[in-house]
Amino acid sequence: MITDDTNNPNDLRLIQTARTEVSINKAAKAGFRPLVKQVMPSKKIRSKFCVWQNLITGEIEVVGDYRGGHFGESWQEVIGWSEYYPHHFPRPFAAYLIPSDIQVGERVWVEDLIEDFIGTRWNQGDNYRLDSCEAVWDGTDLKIQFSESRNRQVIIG
Amino acid sequence: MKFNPHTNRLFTDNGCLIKRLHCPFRLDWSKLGPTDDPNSRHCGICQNVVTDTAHRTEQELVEIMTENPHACLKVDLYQDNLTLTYRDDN
Repeated sequence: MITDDTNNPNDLRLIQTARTEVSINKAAKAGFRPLVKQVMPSKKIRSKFCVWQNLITGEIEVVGDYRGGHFGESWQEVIGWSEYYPHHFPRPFAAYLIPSDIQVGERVWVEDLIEDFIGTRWNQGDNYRLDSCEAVWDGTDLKIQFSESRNRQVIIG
Repeated sequence: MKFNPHTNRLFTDNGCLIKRLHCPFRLDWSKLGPTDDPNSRHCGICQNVVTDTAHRTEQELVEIMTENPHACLKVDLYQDNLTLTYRDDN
């Protein structure tokens, strides 16, 4: 999902995320304290798909909704319903770039979460990843201010 | 209609982009204010009308967005007139 500065409802200080050695070290040299974390994909973040192929042209159609995928006789299902983790990150670690003057208890906006949280659930079993969130700096770590207990099936915007 | 929950983009069945839904306030639909239209609600933060896409045709939504590109929409992943897609090049 695309995020940008305007995706920050309370106009909090923005915490950026670096996802490569080069970008982490560049930030460190610029005065940030990289808070390094392992990228650990959650098994709960799942999307599903199946693939149909046109027997004549070879073209494929990818379907993600059980209600879709009603093709004609010239189509054949070549991959049945399967689940996958729908994100790719460049390295298995990343770092939040903590400003040197951050205060304990300061609320911030994390624009690119490293941790996996379920942001939205769908009744067909798919769970979607939360991208951005508020957090509080406790002096050593960012405490992410989000509860997965709320069923977010409704999207407004 | 098609909706990509990875990108929050809403499309017509023909693949025309209606809107990328984007709201940082994580609003609760049930807490939005009423309007004269039972299928729309009022957002007190942005003073926008939020239209429920479950009760609109694609053409109506395209007209709403053409008239006001900043209009807000509500999509429920369970609604009947919607299928989900994981492509933005519909």
